[in-house]
This record gives sequence, C-alpha cells and structure tokens, in this order.
Amino acid sequence: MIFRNSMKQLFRTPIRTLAMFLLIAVSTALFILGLLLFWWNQRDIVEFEDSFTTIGTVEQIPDSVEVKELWNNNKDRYAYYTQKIYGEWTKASVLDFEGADYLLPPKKRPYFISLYPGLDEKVWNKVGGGHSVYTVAEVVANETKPVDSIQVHVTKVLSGQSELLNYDIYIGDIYHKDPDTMEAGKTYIVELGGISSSQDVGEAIANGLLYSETDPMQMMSIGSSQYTIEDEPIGKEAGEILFEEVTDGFYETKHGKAWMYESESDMTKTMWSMLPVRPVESTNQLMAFHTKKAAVKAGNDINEEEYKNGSDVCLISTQFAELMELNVGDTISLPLLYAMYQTAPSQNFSVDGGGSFNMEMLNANFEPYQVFDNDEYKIVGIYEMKALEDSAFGLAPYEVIVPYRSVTGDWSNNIVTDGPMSIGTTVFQIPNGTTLQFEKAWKEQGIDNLNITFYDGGYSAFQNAIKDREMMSYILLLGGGIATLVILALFGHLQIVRQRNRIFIERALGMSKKKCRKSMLSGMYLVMAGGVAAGGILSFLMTDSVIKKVESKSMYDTTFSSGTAEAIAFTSQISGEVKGVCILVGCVIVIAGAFVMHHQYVNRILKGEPMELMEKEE
Amino acid sequence: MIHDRKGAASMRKSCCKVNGMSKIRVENVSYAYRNSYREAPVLRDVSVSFEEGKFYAVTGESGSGKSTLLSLLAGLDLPQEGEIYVNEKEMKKLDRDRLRQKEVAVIYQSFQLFPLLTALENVMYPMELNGMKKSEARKKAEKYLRKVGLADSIEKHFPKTMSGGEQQRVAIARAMAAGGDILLADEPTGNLDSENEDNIIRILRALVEQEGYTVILVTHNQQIAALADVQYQMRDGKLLEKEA
Repeated sequence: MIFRNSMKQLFRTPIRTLAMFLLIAVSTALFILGLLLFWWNQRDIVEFEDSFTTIGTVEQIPDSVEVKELWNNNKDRYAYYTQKIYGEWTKASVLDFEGADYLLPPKKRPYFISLYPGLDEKVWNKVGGGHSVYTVAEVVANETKPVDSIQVHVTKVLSGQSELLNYDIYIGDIYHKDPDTMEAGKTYIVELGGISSSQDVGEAIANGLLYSETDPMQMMSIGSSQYTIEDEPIGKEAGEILFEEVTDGFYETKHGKAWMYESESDMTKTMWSMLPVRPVESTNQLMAFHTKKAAVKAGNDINEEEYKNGSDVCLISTQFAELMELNVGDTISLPLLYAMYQTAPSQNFSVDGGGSFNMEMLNANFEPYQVFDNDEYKIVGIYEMKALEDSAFGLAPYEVIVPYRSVTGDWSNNIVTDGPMSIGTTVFQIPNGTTLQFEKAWKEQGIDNLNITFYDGGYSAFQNAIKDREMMSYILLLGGGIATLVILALFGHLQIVRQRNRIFIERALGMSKKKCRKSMLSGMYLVMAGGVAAGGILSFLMTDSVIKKVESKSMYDTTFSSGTAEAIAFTSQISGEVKGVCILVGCVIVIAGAFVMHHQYVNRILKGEPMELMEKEE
Repeated sequence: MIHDRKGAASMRKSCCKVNGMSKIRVENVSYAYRNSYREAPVLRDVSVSFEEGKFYAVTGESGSGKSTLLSLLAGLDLPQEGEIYVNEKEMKKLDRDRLRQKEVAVIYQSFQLFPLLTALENVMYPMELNGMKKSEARKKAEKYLRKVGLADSIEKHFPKTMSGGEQQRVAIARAMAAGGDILLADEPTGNLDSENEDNIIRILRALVEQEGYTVILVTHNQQIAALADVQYQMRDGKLLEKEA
C-alpha cells in the first residue's frame, strides 16, 4: 500500500516525474561515458607509457682535438691523424644529482667477448677471399741493423702462418723512427701481422711480390691493454715488447712465458671467434631497439621477469642464427673472456664479420685472461636489424643480448678496453615526459663537458594527444558526475524537502519513520532506477561513436615518425565485457549516490519529533 | 453501527462516571521549546483530566501553549516534565506511532490533507495503513465521507479543488477512519467562514454525542468554545478551568 501510494503521488505530477526520468537518464549516460572514456584513456596511457621509453645518452666532450703524427718507415715520412684529447675521464657519478629521477641509472656499461667455437671458420667461409693471419715466430737476423726493415730467416713458427718456416723474409718496425737493432746470427722472437691466408707465401716471396726490403712484414708488439674498474690503464703501464732475443731458458722467464701465451692465444683464431655479448637491463636501452631499427622477429623479447631474475636467456641476431644454424629454444655456451668499456660492439665488429679492436690479449702481468663467467644461455628470441650499421646506434652482426643480471662473474680483472663515457657505453632512462625537468636540473650542475642527448621516440607528440583526451574524459566524468549529483539533489529537494508536510501528515497519522522513508523513497527509486537503466542503455549505444570521435580529434591529427607509428597500435575498441562492467559500475554509483543523498534528506526531516516538523510547517 | 457506538458510548459514560476514569490525564506537565540559543517555556505544571465522551474546548491567546498541549496529547512529542496518560497508560511507555494510528486523531486548521491524493484516497489512507484491504477501506471511506456530509461527487476531487469547509470535513472523515475515539482539533475552523464553522462544530458535536468521541478543541473563538461541555483557558502556560 505504501509503495502504491508513493507511486500514485509521484505519477500525479507526471511532467516532473518524466523530467526526473529523462534528466537522470541523460546525466547517468554522460557519467558512464565519462567512466568509459576514463577507463579507455587509462588503459591507453598504460599502453602508451609501456610503448615509449625515454633514453638519454652521455658523451664526454673532448677537451681538444689534436693533430698527431705517426712515423711510417715504409713511406719514410709522417702520417697525420687527429685524436680527441679528453684529459680526465668524467665519472658517471656526476649524473647522480638532485632532481635526476632515473628508471635506469647512468653508468658505463661494458659488453663482453665470448670465444665461440667454430665461428671463425664459418665466418671465413662466408666472407671468403682470405683473412689476415698473425704469426709468432723465431727468426735469426741475417744482418745487424735497426729493424726499420731487416732480413731474417724464419727458424720456428710458434703459431700462425707455418708456411713462412725456413724462408728469408723482410720484417720491420714500421712506426718507430729510431727502431732498436737486431744483431746478425742471433735468434729473436717476433709477432708478425698482415699476411693473408689466401696467399701462397712461397710463391709470393719467390717472386718478390711479398715483403720486400721496402715493404717489410709488419712487426707487432705484445703488451697489455688492461684497465682496472676505476679506469686505470695498468696494462699500458706494464709496457710493450716488439721483439726479444731467445736465449737458453728464455721461455722460463716472465717475458718468455708472455710470448708463449701470446702464441698459444692464437690471435688469428681468437679475433675471428670473438662473439660480442651485450648485457642489458632492457632491449630498449639499446638505441637500435629504441629507435625501432631492430625488433624481435622470432620468439620473444626477454621479459621483465627474466631481466629481474637474471635468467640465462638470450636474443641472437638473424645473421648469427643463420650462420650457426640456431633456432629459438636452442642453447649456446657463452664463456665470457673480455670486458670492453670503450665502445658499443657495432663500433668494433664490422658488418661483414671480423672487426677492429684496440686491445691486447694479455693482462698487465703478461698472462692470458681467464674466463670470468660461463653459462649455457637459452635462445628466447631472434632479432632482426633493418639495416646494419657500425655506429653506436647499430648492433654488431652477431651481437648476443643477455640480461645484465645473468652475468654473475666478476669481470673487473678482464677489462681490455676502456674510454670516456660515450653513446655506445653510457645510457640512462628517465620517466617519459621529464626531459625538460632533467635538463633544467642538469644545467644547474654547471658541468659542461658532457653532452646529453635524449631520445623519446616521439613521446612528446603522443603525450599532447593523450593529454587532450585525458582532459576530455575528466570533463565528461566530472561533468556527468556533477550533473547527476545536481539532478539527484534537485529531485531530492523537490520530492522530499519540499514535501516535508507529507512526512508530517504521515507521522501525524501514526506512520513509523521506517514506513515514512519507504513512502517517500520507494516511488522515487523506481523512477530513478528506470532512468539509470535508460542512461546505461544510452551510454552503451553511444560509446563507440563517441570514442571514434574523440580518437579522431585527438590522435589522427598528430604526426609521428614512421618507426614510432608502426610500433604504437592503439585500438578504439572497448570490449563488451568492459562496457558492461563500466555501465554496471556507473549505474551502481548513481544509485548508491541517490540512496545516500535521499536517505540523508529524509533522515534529516525524520530526525526530530513530528511536533518540530509541524512547528517548521506552521 | 452508529447505534451500537452510541450505546457503547453511553455505557462508557456511565462507566466513567461510576469509576471516574479519564480518557486522557495530564499530570504536572511542563514543556519548553528549546534551541541552541534559548529555552522558551510554554506549558508550566499543567494538570488536567479529559473524560471520555465529552467535548472540551481550550482557549487562549496566540502563543499561550494551547496547540502545544494538543500536540503533546497526540503524542507528537513528550513533555520534559510530568506525565500524560491515555486510557490510563503512561504515554512514555506507549508506542506513540501506534497511538496516533489507532487511538488519537488530530485535525488541523490547515487541514493537512495529502495534496496529491483524492478526498476518498485521503480517507482510505489511515485504514490501509492499519492493514485494511483496499476494497473494504474504500467502502468505509465512502461511508465516512457521507457521514460528514460530503456528496459522492467530491470523492475524486483533490484537496486544492475543494473549499476549506470541504477539506476540513475530509480531514474529520479521515480522523474517524483511523478508528480511535479521541479527536484533537487544533483551530479546525480558523480558516473557515461562519457557515462552514457551524457545520464543522456540528459534526464534532455529533461525534461526541452520537459516536462517544472525546473531542478536545483548541480555539481562540470564545463563541465556539462556549459550545463545549467543559472549557479551559491557557494563560501564561497554565491551564485554568472556566466556569460554564
């Protein structure tokens, strides 16, 4: 009866009731659309944030660039070249300043070299046409003279080009203007470079085509390029040896052993077996991946969990996979031997295989380096580089990418190259959209010998579009919410506050507070529930078209770099399930809001004795 | 039915006379309107007894406390001091909602009808509230409306389309429909012309004489008060019996 009378009284003001129904339907629809847009936006923001990373590269600016001269005995003149002079290398710790918020802190990161069995022959076969061979040999000087160019007789080949044995050849210290002297009849040990594996040595020498007095075979010094983790060049300090006389017990001496180590290291084989292994915290940290020039083609990228746990997983290049006939799921052994801190692998390894390295194979004690980490790595993905390049932005053709934490061995005694911070070695990551704050805070540090460059992959352009859309969702959500609240308040006022006399009459007739509440609210709730349901349906019908309009306004007007545009694929679809949840949540919020608000209205009126109500009325 | 009620009323009268029972008894009641800033005493130590089947009139100037007394008798609030007994039951211990639903009805100067319900629906309301079936409530409501002299044609009218006299008669019919035998009337003729005033008083008088109601009428009109069996006057929060 109470509900019937409540409805009856409500429908005796049909215009007001209809207005209430329609306004609640529209405001609820707006509110739900706001909710949907808000959800949609939040989802895209997460996708958006995940799709972009802001990487900064650090490069120490040289103090000066000097022209250096290098004597060439073959040409009997100086050759000139330029060299960057850095003075003291700036430590990455200067980038740890107030206001710098790093997702990946700046530090000089090495890459490692593993010797991969069989790689040399595969590469040689692929490249064809021969390769340089390094030879360690004992020679007897045929004359006494400085070694700018001297004829020697090869008496023993310890490693390298064995065909040289028993030949008289010319060797020379090309780069020293006043070289040391060899004495006739004495036996010396030397390292020689420059001969091609494809040449017939005997024929070439016999015909005078190879290594004449005016073009001797290059003598190579042995030494060490070892650095400490604090950038101290302890290898350089140990000095270098160009040749040494072999006497009885020579190979028992420190230098004798060093020559043996050098020989056993077999530089020819080593150089061509070297496989660069890049430990990273994320593939996006590599500029080739960051700029979308490289992407995983088969299998998967290393995932967050694997990075976090330091799992023994790796990504290999398509070139390496094809060369060594490897597939996703295979495992490879990576005994890590050298740590390189000077450049990125792409700057050392040439795109055709082999490469150019400013390193020695012996440590500062003139002993060979020991493997510092040796694990089996599972191949989880194979990446492809769109175009190989040898800059710091590229990847070496056979570069293997592993999680940084997977390398647990201590490489501090295996550092063979080092240099100031550069694009190839020093990157960091900051939160998207914070480059301006970073640059401002960095400027305040007053350090001007570091060049910091940011790469955000087009984030700034996308960010503006996303912000516009976010604003629109807030407006709809807030607008719809406020409109709903105002409408609920208005109808609460009209139906409850303005009808407080009805409550008084009901109370005077002996109706309990509970029944009064029911009498006042039941009819209203039915109309409201109808309005909210209609609003839900309306929002369901409008969602797709609204989203399309919003998207076309905010997204398509923005231009992006092709790499970025390809990488980002925002969808305008909202699944039916999500729509359902949003509509349900929106409806529940509106009804709960109405329940709380209107109960408050009624309770406030019912709070006092009916007599107080009458006093207010009269 | 009327005869039965009349007979019952007569019996109750004699019963009361014999036993001296009060329908409503007020003992040392004081009441003050209070808010955060001040307290305004309205009733001061009021004691009175209203016997059943009698027509009482309470007069007094505006603000003298007569309406407040009536509201307290209806259980619309409780006195701050003193006790009120209804049928010898202490009001504090009673379910006051039930009291107003079943025993005590009030009519007001401003009629207090539901504006969005018809005359008939207004009268049906308390009966349906008491759990009566709609069809039965409808029949009884029609009967009560006829009893207060309203033609069938007015049943479907809404209060705002009726005259003041008609509205007050609907209010009386609704009071009768509640089923109690105590009717409290707060200036019921205050908004009416003299003709309607006479009609209402005649109806109230008939309720007392024919139905055995106890009617307590609050008015500032001395002529109307003179028609009551017993007259009281509120003065400075005190209730004084006036000599007939």
